Amino acid sequence: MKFTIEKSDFIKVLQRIQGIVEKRNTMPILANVLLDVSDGKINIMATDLEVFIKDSSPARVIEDGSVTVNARKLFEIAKELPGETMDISSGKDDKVTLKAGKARFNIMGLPSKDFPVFPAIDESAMKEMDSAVFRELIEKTSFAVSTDETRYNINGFLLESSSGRLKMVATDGHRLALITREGVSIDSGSKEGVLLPRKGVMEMKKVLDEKGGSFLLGITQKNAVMKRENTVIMIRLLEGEFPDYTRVIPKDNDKDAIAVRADLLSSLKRVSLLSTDKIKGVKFSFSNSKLVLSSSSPDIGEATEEVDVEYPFGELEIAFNARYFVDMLEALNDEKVRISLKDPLSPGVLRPTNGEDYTYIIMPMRL
Amino acid sequence: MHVDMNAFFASVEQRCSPALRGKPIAVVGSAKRTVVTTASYEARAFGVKTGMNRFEAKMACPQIIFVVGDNSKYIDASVRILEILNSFSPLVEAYSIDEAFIDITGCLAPFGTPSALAMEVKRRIKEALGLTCSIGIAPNKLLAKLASDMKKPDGLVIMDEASSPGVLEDLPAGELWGIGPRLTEHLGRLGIRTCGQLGRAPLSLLRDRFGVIGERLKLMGQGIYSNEVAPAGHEDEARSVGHSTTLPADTSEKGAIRRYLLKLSEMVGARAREHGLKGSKVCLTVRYPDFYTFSRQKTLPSHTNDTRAIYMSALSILEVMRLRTAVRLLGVSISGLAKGSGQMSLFEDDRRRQRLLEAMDEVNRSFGGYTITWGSLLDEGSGCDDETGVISPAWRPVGVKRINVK
Repeated sequence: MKFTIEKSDFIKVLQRIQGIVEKRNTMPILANVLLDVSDGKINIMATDLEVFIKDSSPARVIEDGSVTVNARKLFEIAKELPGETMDISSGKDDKVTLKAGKARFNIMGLPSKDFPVFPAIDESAMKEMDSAVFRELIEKTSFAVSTDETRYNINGFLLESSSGRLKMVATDGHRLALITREGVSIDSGSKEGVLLPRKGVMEMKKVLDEKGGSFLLGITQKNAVMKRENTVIMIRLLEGEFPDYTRVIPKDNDKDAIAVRADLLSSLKRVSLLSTDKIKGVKFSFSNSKLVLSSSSPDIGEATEEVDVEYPFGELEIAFNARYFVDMLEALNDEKVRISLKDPLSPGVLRPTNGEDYTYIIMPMRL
Repeated sequence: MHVDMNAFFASVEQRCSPALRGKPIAVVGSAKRTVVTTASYEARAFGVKTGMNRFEAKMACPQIIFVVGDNSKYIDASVRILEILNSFSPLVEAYSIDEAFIDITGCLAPFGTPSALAMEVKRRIKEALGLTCSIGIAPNKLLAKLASDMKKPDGLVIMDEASSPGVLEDLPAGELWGIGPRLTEHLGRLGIRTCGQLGRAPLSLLRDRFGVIGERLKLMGQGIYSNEVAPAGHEDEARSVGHSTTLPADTSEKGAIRRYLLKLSEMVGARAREHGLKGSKVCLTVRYPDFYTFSRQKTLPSHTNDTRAIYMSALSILEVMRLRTAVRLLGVSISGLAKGSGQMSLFEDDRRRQRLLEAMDEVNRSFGGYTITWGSLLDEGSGCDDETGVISPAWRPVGVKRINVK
């Protein structure tokens, strides 16, 4: 294998795959990228067996062939090499040589036949989707995904598609975010909803963040696949059952408070500075047209702040983890939010005032 | 004042059975593989030491009598001793099952002198329990502990500002309370071997080497120590909740190891729940047969005291560990403790699980430990009901460190 490649193209592709390369070192070859040269281009692939990424880049090919080499070292070396182009070659012993200017690196590779095979993809089953729409689904729910590995059934997003409507749901057992978009759908095969693991979705988002436009998205029995230009990401769906979220959406929360999002956000951030270290408990005291936020920490002191709200009901005191509120308020850009409550022990519901297509549910803390 | 019971476990046993009095005995645990927890003074004369296994003890003293420790006896004796001490001063800190600190400032009037008070303490303990103790009296806890150590058994040593510098001058630094073998080694490398040298060492040197504790070390070398006697309820908050157990036989069998982990996780979880504590880190400790011991910990996304969450984390640590050989000891602990936050769960299943744990704990509190337990702990041959029967040095009469023993 031997080729010459534009350094800037190569670095961009290598950067994209860094997040996917296995870091835990359980199988040494998963720390490598596969370089496969044929038909005048180079295909680059990386996987941790849960997420697969494939990318390609044009190159001046001198000799076809393939090899795997440590992804991080290759990226670090490519970044530091001088000049515009670099020469990469490998021989029978899987040793890879990188050359640029007067610099020369020989790094040990592993045979490409030992690298996992990229699962076959059926492009005809994929549908076009707007990047901005899909990014919004992720951005407004991702903070609620559980990172508790012992609860694998909520370590990801529930994606549901039915009757021309797409829904994305995420929860960590204390709060839940649900977003609905009309007029978009995907073909999710026989299943109504699929569970997408967090890591793979965040890798997809990284690719979508690079630029707007549309991309292809497909769901099969076991995998979700996205494709944009030369980049293909395939993620294995999570097995397990997502909890029945419809049952936790409160229907009889009859006390609504409307607040200016940015004001509530900055007040909460200030007041939560004095709640106990890790668990950011803040007390919300609602009374006529007024919300008083307060927190205290036995070792440090206490803080209170008054926030103007539209709230025409009787007094209500309830405590929430401020972080859960802040996460959601930061993800929105609406001017006002509506907080719907029932009593101090029932979940609260947050929505932007102009629309029912986004719902965020938070379970309170016992006072 | 520091009161240190002499050969506590062995003395209690000798007190309970006259046949053992005046004979070399060693108190051991009930597990198959156990070590000497305490040797009587008669046995110590033959060179039997704490930590020896049965074979080593027998080699040192062929006529030694092994007595399996009975923790309830020791706890009972310990509680009665604390009651006696409390009748002298309200400020009593139970430092371990057989040691206590008492602040006697302001309690001297009825006795006249500290030594008269100490003799009365000794007399009352001897009268009530037939046990002897060594007492050290000094201006602070550090020196009192040092003083009680100087004359054993049945000693009484009084140290004051005038006599302490002489004692400290040539005393090896490692003899001081709180200076362990590792610290001793570090100090040795700086050329500091005695307390006198430690007290004179330049502060900048100690600060550079040991950070903030450098200053405290220098003061300790001078016999100055500012921690007050902390009676029950006033001690520092617990930093971790943990349990460990030496397995009845070394094993590398995954199933058995998992069962022990579940059992330890349940012990940790139940005790944390009892005290309303939740931890954000789970730590797994493993000891190999050659006594090589290591720990790995894992940070959790949220605080927990749920047995299952603790167990799952301990298991996930074990899975990446790649055990070199069989395992001799396993330990599970949680740290990063916080008082339960009162955060409620969104899903009914989680709330039900919460109520289930509460119900289990309540049954076990009313009817004794493990009345309700996890099915996999009941598997035939799981061997999980073997207790090593040795009380932990961290045991305290009240609070989260009070571990229930059989």
